[in-house]
Amino acid sequence: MPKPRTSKPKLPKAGRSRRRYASRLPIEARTEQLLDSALRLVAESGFGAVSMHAVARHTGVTRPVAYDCFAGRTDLLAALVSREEARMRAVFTAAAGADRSGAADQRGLPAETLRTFLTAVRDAPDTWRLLYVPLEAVPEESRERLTAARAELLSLLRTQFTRYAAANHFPADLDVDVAVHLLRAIVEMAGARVLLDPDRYHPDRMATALTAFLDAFRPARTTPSDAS
Amino acid sequence: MSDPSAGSPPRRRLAPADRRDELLDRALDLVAEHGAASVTMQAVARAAGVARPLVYDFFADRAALLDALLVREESRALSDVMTVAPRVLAGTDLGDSVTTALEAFLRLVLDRPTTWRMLLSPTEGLPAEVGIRIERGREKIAGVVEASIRAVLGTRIAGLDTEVVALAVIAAGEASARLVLSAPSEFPPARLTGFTRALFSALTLEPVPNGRR
Repeated sequence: MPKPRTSKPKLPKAGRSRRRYASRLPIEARTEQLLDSALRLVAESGFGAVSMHAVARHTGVTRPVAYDCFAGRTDLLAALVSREEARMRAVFTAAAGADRSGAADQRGLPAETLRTFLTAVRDAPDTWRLLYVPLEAVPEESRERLTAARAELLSLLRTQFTRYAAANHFPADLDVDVAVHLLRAIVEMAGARVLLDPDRYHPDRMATALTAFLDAFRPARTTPSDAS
Repeated sequence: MSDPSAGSPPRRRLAPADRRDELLDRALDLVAEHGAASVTMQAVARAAGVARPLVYDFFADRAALLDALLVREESRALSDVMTVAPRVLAGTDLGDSVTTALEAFLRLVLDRPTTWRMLLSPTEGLPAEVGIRIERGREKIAGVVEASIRAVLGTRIAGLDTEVVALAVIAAGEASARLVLSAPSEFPPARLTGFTRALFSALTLEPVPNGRR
């Protein structure tokens, strides 16, 4: 059984008393707190480390308190993945909106989109680690949710690339599917680096370096191509 | 040295290093056919036509065997890549060099599909340390790629962050390899090289306004 970190659970102000009485929190707050613990456990040791017992212990409550909030492990994990997926989705939406203004003079460069995404990764690393977990390691009931988050990233990149391609007069038959797959790999690499070492691979550094590289290239044609 | 000859016909005598290699070859076949989870001491012994104790002469357990397999395959993959990397510098046109490099890389990936699948999509059935080992291999490749980028683009793009760009190039290369391995009919190598060719002919590299050229 993997040992959870001994970091002190966040107890409510009155919560210095004995464990059982930590359950004075409203159920919504307690639910969130248990999910936070579960997320920490997943980030540290994978989905296998999550049990009602481990989550309760990590939160500093007894098991019955955990069972007040969740029917069991499956229920808890489903709630966790669903919460984290919603968080990722919110970031993708924010990132997609980040470049709206000034896109024309930036030639559609996705600097702000990338920065928004990478900053979110830095600020909530445990959430974003889920983007990298191999699907086979995810409980079956939750795979669909995570797949949805990954698909969301792809569709964000498709929009971004399409805008960039238009601003740069790319040939209309350029293979967007390939472009989107490669872009995703680059964006995921940047996120993985931020997770690995956020000081060395700061979101600003990654966003600046990648867009500066793109910016060095200019459209070969200045008008939309009619041939190809 | 164990004696597996008791019931079975005598095996050809192999030098230990050759025997070890052969066992790893059989393990690689098993990975290719049934996935890493199918690699057990028993399965490898059976595939090699030897008694199980002989496998234990070379590997303490299944994890050690898989680890040895990864070490071997990773070093093969790395040396493949190293033979391709220097040639990339030879090209002058950027689009040409990138496309040629990608073409060569995808060819060597398809020459060792099982190896690259293990390295690029490590999943269940492989020991946990695999990820760390692969990350180290990636760093070696990153050094070579970064040197190429500096040589080709360093003077043409002011303030280029070659480390990050190298990581991006590797990420794109790995993604290409994954596409070719996982969906060969949808993404044949020619589709990917066609993409880089088209992309680079739509773009041109110009000195940045504050560049020193």
